[in-house]
Amino acid sequence: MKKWIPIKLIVPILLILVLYIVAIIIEQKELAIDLNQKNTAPSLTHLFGTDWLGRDMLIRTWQGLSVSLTIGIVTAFCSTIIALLMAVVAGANKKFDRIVRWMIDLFLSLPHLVTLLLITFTLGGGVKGLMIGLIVTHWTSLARVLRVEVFQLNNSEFIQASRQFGKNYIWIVWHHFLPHLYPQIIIGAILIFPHAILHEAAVTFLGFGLSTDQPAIGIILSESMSYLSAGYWWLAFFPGLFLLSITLTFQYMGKQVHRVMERNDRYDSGVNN
Amino acid sequence: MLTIKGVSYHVSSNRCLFDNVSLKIDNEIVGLSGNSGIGKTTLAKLIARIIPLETGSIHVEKSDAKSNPIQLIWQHPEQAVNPKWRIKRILLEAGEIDSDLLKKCGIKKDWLTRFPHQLSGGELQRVCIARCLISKPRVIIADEITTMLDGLSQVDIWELLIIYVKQNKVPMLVISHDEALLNRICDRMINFQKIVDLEKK
Repeated sequence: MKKWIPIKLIVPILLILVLYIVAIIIEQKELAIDLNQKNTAPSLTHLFGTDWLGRDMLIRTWQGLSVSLTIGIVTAFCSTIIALLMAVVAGANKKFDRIVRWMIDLFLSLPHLVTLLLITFTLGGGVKGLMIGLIVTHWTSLARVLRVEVFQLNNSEFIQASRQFGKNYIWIVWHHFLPHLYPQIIIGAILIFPHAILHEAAVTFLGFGLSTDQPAIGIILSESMSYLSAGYWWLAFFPGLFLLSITLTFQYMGKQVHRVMERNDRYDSGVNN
Repeated sequence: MLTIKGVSYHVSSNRCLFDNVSLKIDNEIVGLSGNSGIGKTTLAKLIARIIPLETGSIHVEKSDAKSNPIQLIWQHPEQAVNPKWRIKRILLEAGEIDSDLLKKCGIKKDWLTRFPHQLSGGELQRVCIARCLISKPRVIIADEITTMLDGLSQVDIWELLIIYVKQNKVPMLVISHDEALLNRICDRMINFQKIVDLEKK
């Protein structure tokens, strides 16, 4: 069998990497305010148009991407880890399970945005405060899915057989649970990503998150709200499209990761190696 | 040798499945028969410590292996193995693979790289038996292990198990509905219903 290179996986990763690196580079540049050019529609000189201060929207969007991507990725990653840990702890014994269930209920019983606002406000806002707030509030739904999954595995016969062979819980988690959980984990992480970015936008819109001089996608979107009725559609359309395509790229990447991992489960890969 | 003393199981606080059951198995093959739903499998799980013991005690020779000295072979082999593991990994979970033993169990080399869904029910049950034997059990409990197999596979599987058990002097408890089968392979038969009724009086 030929060595198989997952091009479909490498392309989206490269795409996101390039976007990210370019965003970091152009972040250094200050955007000139040009009041003669304010609120111009998309043209060849300004592909995404300009805003009410005459700043080029393409550069602003791209800059905003770096902050938003960081927030999205870090939140998705950390929330997923917390969700997985919670599910594994809940599976260890009944007492822990009750504690974890209580914590999930506690976080779900409060409105998402209110908890997020409280935590972000308490931590003093900014990227760090916002990120901690997002991480702490976004693990619950995935944790609930994973907890049930662990519960089901715990009661299956092959796990009981594994215990019969003297394997401890940590070993079982690592060797039995993780291969069964990773589809849920990957999908959960990908779903948290746009959620986190949109919540970042919401909190910022309400004035508790990032400061307005920081060019995040959320800020751009919330600012454009007041100009939409005036017919300046490009202020929201292009940044929104950008966010959408990034999210879709992530989703595609997740699907490809799944495919690459599934590849080892094929019969022929084992026979020929 | 396996000694069970005064084992009970309650389905709920006021309904008792069986009470104060005692059994003693020397190096022999003992058949346990009885109608459905009277707790044969539950007893097997209690003996193998898959369900925690309420009352009574279970004594068995100590072994130095990490595995439980009392090993249960399950009724449904496809549920008793991890569907995402290759056969080799499934067998390795119990301990070092002994190619001699695999040959005795009728497991072919090329099965080792396959996944459980790529084996038939009978083949998979052989894998489960081999896995059980690899862990060097002191007692084997076979819970309806050939119910879903055709006659020929049944003969093969019982032959290999009986040879192993006689050679290694391992007591075996065979649970089945099939009294004709039990009559053929067991040294002694126990009707579970009778034990349960006896203790209830």
